Amino acid sequence: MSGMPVEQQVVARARKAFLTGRSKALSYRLSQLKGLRRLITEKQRDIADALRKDLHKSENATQLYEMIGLEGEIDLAVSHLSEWAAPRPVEQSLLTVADEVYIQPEPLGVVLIIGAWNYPWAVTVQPLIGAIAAGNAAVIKPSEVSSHTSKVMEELLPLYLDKELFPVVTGGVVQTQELLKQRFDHIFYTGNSTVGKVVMEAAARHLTPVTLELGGKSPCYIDKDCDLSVACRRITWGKYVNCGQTCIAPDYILCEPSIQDKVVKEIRKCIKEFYTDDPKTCPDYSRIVSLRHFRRIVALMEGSSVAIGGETDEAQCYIAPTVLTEVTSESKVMQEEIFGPLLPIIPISGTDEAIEFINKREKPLALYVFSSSDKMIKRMIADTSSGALLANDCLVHYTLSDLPFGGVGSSGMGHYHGRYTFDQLSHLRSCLIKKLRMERVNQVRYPPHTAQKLRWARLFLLKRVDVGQWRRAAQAVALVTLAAYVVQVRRPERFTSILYCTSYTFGFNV
Amino acid sequence: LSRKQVVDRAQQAFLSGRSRPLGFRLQQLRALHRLITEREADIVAALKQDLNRSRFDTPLFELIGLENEIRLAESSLSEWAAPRPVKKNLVTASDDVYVQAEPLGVVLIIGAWNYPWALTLQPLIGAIAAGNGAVVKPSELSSHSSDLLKELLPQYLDKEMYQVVTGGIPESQELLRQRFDHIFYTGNSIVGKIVMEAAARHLTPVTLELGGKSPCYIDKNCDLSVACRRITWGKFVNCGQTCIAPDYILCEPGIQQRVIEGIQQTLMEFFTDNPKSSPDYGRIINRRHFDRIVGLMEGCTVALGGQTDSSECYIAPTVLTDVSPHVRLMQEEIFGPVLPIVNVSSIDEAIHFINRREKPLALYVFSSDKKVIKRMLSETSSGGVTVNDVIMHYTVTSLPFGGVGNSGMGRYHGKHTFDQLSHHRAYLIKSLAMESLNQARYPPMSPARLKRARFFMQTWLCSCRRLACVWAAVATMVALVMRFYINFRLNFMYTFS
Repeated sequence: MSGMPVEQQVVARARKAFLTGRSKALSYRLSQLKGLRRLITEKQRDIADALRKDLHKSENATQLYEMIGLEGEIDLAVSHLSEWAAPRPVEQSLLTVADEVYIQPEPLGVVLIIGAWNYPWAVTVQPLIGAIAAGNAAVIKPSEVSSHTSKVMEELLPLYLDKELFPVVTGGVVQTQELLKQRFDHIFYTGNSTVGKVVMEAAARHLTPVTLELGGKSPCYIDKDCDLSVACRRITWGKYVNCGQTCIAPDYILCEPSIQDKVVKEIRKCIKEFYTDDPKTCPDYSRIVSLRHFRRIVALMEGSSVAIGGETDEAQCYIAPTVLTEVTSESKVMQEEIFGPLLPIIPISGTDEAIEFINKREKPLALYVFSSSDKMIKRMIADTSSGALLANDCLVHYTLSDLPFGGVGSSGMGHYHGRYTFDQLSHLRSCLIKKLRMERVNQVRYPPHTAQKLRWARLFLLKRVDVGQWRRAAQAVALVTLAAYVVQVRRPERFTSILYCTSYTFGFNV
Repeated sequence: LSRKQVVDRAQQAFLSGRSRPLGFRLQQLRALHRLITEREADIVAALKQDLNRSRFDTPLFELIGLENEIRLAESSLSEWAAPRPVKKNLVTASDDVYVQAEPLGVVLIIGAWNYPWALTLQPLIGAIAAGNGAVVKPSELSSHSSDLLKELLPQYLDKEMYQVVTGGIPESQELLRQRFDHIFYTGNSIVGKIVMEAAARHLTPVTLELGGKSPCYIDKNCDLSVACRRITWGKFVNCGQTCIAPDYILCEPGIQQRVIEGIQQTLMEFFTDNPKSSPDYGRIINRRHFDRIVGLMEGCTVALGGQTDSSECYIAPTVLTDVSPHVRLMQEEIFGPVLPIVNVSSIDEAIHFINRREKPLALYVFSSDKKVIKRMLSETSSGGVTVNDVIMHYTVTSLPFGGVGNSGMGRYHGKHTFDQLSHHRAYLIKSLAMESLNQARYPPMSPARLKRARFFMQTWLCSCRRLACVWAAVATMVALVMRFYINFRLNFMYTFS
């Protein structure tokens, strides 16, 4: 094995471990998931310390935005694993009524998980939960940008999980490129569209299916008829959490000029309430992850007016919670996903213009609509597209394990969370188990073909018999018969009267 | 019209929004149904020229299946397109939470030549049902069918929303440079990689229905005559040019002779002793494939058949024995009427043989022994499985049809096509009320707030449907209990008064 790049060795080892078959047993998967759960609870301190160094995240924020979600997902997987992994029966046709017909979830093999740096634990470990639950091996490549966290992952994961089945590979672009040359059975990537294309192209060489959780500019439309103070509070929270470095943060606001001043006023109030007059000293306010991103975001402010905030401190990668006005679609800040604490407000004349503005751009990962009018919300739903749509709040759809989380178009492909991760990282194999009997039925399909045979085949194949419906009807008849018998035995005269009434209703005389 | 103009037109048609209402989609599906029923004779004639298909084979293997799918889509469309409710937690208890399928946009459908109508129109049915526009590119190898499709489709369907582009490789390449919202490709793995690479440039999701060598394991414990009959049917239908045809047989040497006899007897029954003259026996699609398949037979022992006629692209139903795993025949998908029998000494060896190769599109196992079947299924992987028959899992619309690994990605048939060509958008509709519930998440953060947040986020409620059933059951039981109790009390009182 020497002479092979490290990445190749790691993948080969993971594949060998997968081929032993030990990850298939449900008990094994459960033990790994429980190990992961213990890691999260026992090593809270180490995890929180690393995140503080990477992103200036407070311990409370780490818990709220990363750990609670992961705990919930692991608990969900543990309690539902046997249900998810069981054969799933499907509706039978007339031809297969005597056969076993079902879908069997199976592991794919070795999954590559490429994590991101903004919520390093959430977006790297959540796919891992699904990978483990589905019985796969997984190579985990955390983002090098959140370097302290990736180091902690490299140290801790082997202490709690199977070292060969779930190895961690750290490193930068070079290591990632080497990994992408290897053959995987699925690649799960969280990050930006540019690298997303590179990942998919690399996957194409091996015909590897991919899940791409990308980003984009998530618009936030505020209708003039709505409770602005609540709306702005929720938007302020969603925007400045993690210093704006959230893939589903409301990227920019669209609203009518008449309410713009009020919106700015409300946001200013909320910023003060959440982060005090001096957010720099507030423990709940994070920092930009790196100097490169800091400079990128600061440059985006060019050409727009600062209505709130605007202060920066390069030494700390600190950017104050900022609101920009006098923004047009040509402004610098509207050319790329901000991924920082700048909130541009773009004036539009009404719902029509807002919808047009949104549809001229790439489909976003999330679309936010604030309105008290059901009609308006329905219009937004019908006339736009996005990964997800939230009315009257931000971010929280992420916390619902039953909602598929993913993008569309430029914002990504595939989805996960809860059972969706399990399904995404499984092969759902169709199984039809017949017997070698009843060969007569098959005569219709064998040559020599005749018009007569074809007529029979048509009958068999085209007669839409909902086997389930017939079964239910038969059960209903059985129940009614039983009920009639019981009634007759206990109250003969009642039975006669029911019979009389029923026959009268159906129009014939008894 | 250049390829770009075709795609732009379909895009404009989609953006007009007219494919969204269910009424439009149903109307288009009905029109497609009429196309298939009214023009059956033309379709049959085209296929006879392309593949020497008999007039019974075409409806049997292509049109009936399509009719079935259209009918299913018509009757189930409103159910498929309806919002699907979702389990909520305590935070979202009073909100509307659901998933709803929406159209993706313009779908590119690249068809194959072996079942040119089924493999091109079946994805189209799903594309229409899902509210998309589509550009259909039938295979140039089945040229009569693709010309006919180009002529007929605009006569029945919305001309701009659903367009047909014919042509060969240069036209396909130009199409692949355009931006689509989904690409649905049926064909081989080599071109599959090219399609996916092209899709990557626009971040377009793909469905690849590819192929491979579908193994067929015959256990010594089974009714060999029935097994051989079913295998023979599946292998030689369409002259072996079926993506899920049993590619090769694995069996123990002890039963090999009986297997050959079984196949021989069945061939006689199906195609007479002169298959060339049987109207039910097809031809190879073209000279190139004919030469390819004949080349694969070189160096192998012919147990049955082996005759060829290049002027007709005719290859007799052929069985080869004593096939070594290393010959070229065993390195690529045969896609022809040549059935090699590879000897294995046990089920272990068979499983090992299968697993050393790429994951196939289909796996076939013939056995009466449940343990054998269980082992085969649990120790191998494949797109789909049929046990004790071949091909039939394709016909069950509720089973998703697709490959895994080299045999493809994504799946379709029935509702699965609709789902594959839709975007499942997540919805959370809240109100601006009850803001106090949100306090726990706002800064300044504290352990107390965190505890509250945790409680709200991790308490689950059932989705409404299940809850309603539970309540109905509980209410019924309570009512029954109360009735019996009241009856009892009344009788008691009656007795004592």
